[in-house]
Amino acid sequence: MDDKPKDVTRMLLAWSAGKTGAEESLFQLVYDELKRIARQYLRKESEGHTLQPTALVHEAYMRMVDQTRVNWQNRAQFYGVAATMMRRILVNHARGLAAEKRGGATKRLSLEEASFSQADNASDLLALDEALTNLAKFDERKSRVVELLYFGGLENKEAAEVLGVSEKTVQRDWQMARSWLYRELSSDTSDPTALAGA
Amino acid sequence: MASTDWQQIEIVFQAALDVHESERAEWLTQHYGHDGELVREVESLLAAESKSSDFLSKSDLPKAVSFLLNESEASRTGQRLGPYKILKEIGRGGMGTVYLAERADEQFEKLVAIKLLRRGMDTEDIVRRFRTERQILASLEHPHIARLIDGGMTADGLPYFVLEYIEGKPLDQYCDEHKLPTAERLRLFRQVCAAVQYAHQNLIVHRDLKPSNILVTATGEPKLLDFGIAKLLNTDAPYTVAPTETQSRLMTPDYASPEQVRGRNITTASDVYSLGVVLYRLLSGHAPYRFAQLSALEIERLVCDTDPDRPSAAIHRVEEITTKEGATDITPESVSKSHNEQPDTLRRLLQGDLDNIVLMAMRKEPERRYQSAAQLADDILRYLEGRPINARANTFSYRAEKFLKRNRLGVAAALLVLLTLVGGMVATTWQARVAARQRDQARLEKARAEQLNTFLQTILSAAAPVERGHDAKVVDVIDDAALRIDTDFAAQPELRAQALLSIGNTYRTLGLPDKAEKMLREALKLNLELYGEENAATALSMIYLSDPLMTKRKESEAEPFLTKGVEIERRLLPSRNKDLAFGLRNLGELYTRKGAYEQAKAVLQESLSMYDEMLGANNPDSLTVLLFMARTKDLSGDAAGAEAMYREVIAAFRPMPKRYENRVALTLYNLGRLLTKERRYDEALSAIHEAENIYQKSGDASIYTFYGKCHLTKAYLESGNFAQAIVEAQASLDIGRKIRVDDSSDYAVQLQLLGLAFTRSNRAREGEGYLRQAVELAKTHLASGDINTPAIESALGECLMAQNKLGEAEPILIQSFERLKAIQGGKGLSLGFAAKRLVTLYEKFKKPELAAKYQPFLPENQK
Repeated sequence: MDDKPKDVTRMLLAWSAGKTGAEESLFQLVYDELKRIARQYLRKESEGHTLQPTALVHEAYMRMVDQTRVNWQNRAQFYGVAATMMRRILVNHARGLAAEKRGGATKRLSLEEASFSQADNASDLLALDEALTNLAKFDERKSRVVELLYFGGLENKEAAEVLGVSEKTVQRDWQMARSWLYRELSSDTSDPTALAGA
Repeated sequence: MASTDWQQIEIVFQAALDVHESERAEWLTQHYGHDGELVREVESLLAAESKSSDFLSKSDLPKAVSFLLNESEASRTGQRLGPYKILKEIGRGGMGTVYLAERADEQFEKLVAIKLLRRGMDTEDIVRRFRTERQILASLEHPHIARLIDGGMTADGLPYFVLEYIEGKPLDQYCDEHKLPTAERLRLFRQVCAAVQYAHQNLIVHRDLKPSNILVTATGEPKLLDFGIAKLLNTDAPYTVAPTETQSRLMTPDYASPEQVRGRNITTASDVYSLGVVLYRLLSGHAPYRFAQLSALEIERLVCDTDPDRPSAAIHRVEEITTKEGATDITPESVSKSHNEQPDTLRRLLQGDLDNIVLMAMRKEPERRYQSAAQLADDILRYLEGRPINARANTFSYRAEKFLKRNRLGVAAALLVLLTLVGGMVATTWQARVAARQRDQARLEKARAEQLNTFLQTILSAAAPVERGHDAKVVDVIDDAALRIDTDFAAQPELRAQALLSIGNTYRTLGLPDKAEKMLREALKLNLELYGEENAATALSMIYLSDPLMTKRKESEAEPFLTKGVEIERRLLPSRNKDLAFGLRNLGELYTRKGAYEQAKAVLQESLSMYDEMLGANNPDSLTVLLFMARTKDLSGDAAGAEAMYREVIAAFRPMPKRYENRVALTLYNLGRLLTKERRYDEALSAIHEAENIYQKSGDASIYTFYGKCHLTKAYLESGNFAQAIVEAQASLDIGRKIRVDDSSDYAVQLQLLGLAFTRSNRAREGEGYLRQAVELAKTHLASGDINTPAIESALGECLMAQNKLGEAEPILIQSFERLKAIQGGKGLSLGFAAKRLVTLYEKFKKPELAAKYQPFLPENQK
């Protein structure tokens, strides 16, 4: 294979060392690789067999990262990157869809897009994204927990590893963050404080 | 949000979640009523919480992934590979996907299976190897081997194999679904052996024999799949994986031989081993080893160094397995049901010959297995026809031989004598049976055997490294000896009783209380049957039996045995009796633990004089009694007297031969514990460390190194060095698991200390799990009146409190306090701690009136 694994390793190491700019290049690389592997997967899959998305992320990791040089922390970080990326992919699609609607474009949607084309869904996702960004402002970790579990498809245990906290903490963060997000998203139109004042 | 503090909201929110839903509103008002905004905020979050259980419950990852694929691709179904047309997918595994296909040119209307390899394998290499070996593989023509027909490469560069299509069920599944009785399974298995033998004669080793590669057709014909394919795919070491990596193993190691696991040379003997494992599974319903959650290194150790249970023993396991349908239990009942037998009948069926056949095929050393698959099949046939089989149990002498190779000369020599002795004893016994009609002759033989047995006892005790610390390898040999007792002495209950007592006592001195208890209970039962109560052997069984019980902190169970045993001994041999002295010594310790210090002093004094009289003053046994006397002083509160005495014992043991070092160490532990209590932490630590060093010299982890870590944990925790306390506690738990005391009250106490150390170093969340585990363990292992259980619960309360889970902490703290109060009366150290926690809690709640309630119970220096 080419020297890609070495690149990822280097970038992960740079990233964990806090080098600026490492994150963006890492994202691009991981994105390209995931896309490539997904295509290969599909090529091998027979009909009626759904792609296992977490398996895809795992495989991407296996293939990209030169394991001898990367410790578990980097592995955890990799999943962290992947989760953030999945969020971006979804948000970008939702934005694109919203823009399309506004522009009245009649471009034919692909099958996947069709399933997502209920505009509600797209706007829900954008609202969630925004709320999550707000949450991060005063509780970064809870926002990350949601990103890892919801967008990254990680198990509590894996998320705990990524964040370096206990599984119990992840579970509690998730419970609280979800409650908060639920309240935020359901109060979009009716501000509870306004109601309380009335 | 702006005005209320998010962190505070979180604390209250989490605490409220611990309160029952119906009581939350009241709880909030009660504790936080003064802060209306906080209460509103928490209430609205709680309301959201109760509605949001489905919210975000399914990850969006699949959707994201599907967006990643901007082009969809056609699936394989319907595609052509060479002359074959793919019909459907029929399987999927580590190597790739298997499809059902048919010849598209319709020249031969033949269904085939096509195995398409996963991408990522070294394809060029595989195909090259495939080309060189396909001739040989294709030449395998056997009714029980699925033929390899063809192979090639797909347009996008993936190699594939075309195989004869077999419609059937995996061997184990077939047997179970048809409820085949054992004999039927054996007949089927012999056909498998024949096929393997045929391939071996053609110089092809399968390398990956397992039930899923052995299909049985609807007509009951076994067919072996994938012959030679493992070799094509992996020239070197198919089973070796990086030590850190357990997930991505391509093949299951379940059926892999030691040489395969180690990446050594694979031969036909490797297939014989795998056949052995397959047979193990067919007969017992279980795999010989359980690998789940193990690292490659641990698997290697298990396969290469550990003997599996005999199949007849394995059927008694209860094991949870996860299948596609979910988790199910394999139980003795389910296994025997699928054999159409009762558990007992099945066990008897497997015991002996079949155990031996399976284990012979599975020997660690290739050269000690059956020389060929055919020999294995032949031995099975001999069994089926009721003739004597060739397989022998992995004999005691063989095991001991291995042991001798591994061990130092001294032990080796002692065991060699032991071996000759056991051999001699068996011969004697057998001769005795032949001559059984001659009563006096039999008696003579019995006397001789008894004499020999006494000798055996001496040797076993000499081999038992009491004075060297725990040695797992010696344990293996003793385990073997224990297994032999039942068979060797089946017709001689007197000898059996004596051997049980002797081996039980050896386990006791080895620090293996569970095994000791089991043997000694049997010894006692048998001695009672044979001789009744008024008998020295019966009395000794009782005295010995009490010892492991006391080690396991089951004082109440030990007491009747000990008092009775001592009473009998006293009647039979009132003076100059070592067994009585030993019994009295233990009785003294029992009284000490019960807090009956005066009684303890009396019996210890009696024991001491007996030892002195028999052995002279300052002999090791007398000194050990002194150690126990010092403990009495220690626990009865005479710290100064105890310290002086501990130091005296240490000083007396020091100049003695090296094998008494352990007594020094044991005394140092006691001294260390005393000094910790006295808050002289530096001295305490140095005493414990010295003791630990002594025990560590003997290498292996043992109950003694475990106790060392326990004492250290306590000293560090109480001296406020929480970081080091965590290190020591974790070390103790590691050792505890290794020596399998992880299901004991001591282990619970260590879990508690670890949890507390975490809690007090501001890592309460990490501590909580340990404390909860500790509570569970304590509940199972401690009597309801034991002080440790509520003490541990109170510690859990502290941990919850540290996490601001006040709602949950409160009832736990109150309950444990009340229980401690009931046990300890109005005062006591643990009660003081529990009170301290409640005071802290109510200070946090800003409820001074409630805090005041517990003030009087605080430890003296904290009031």
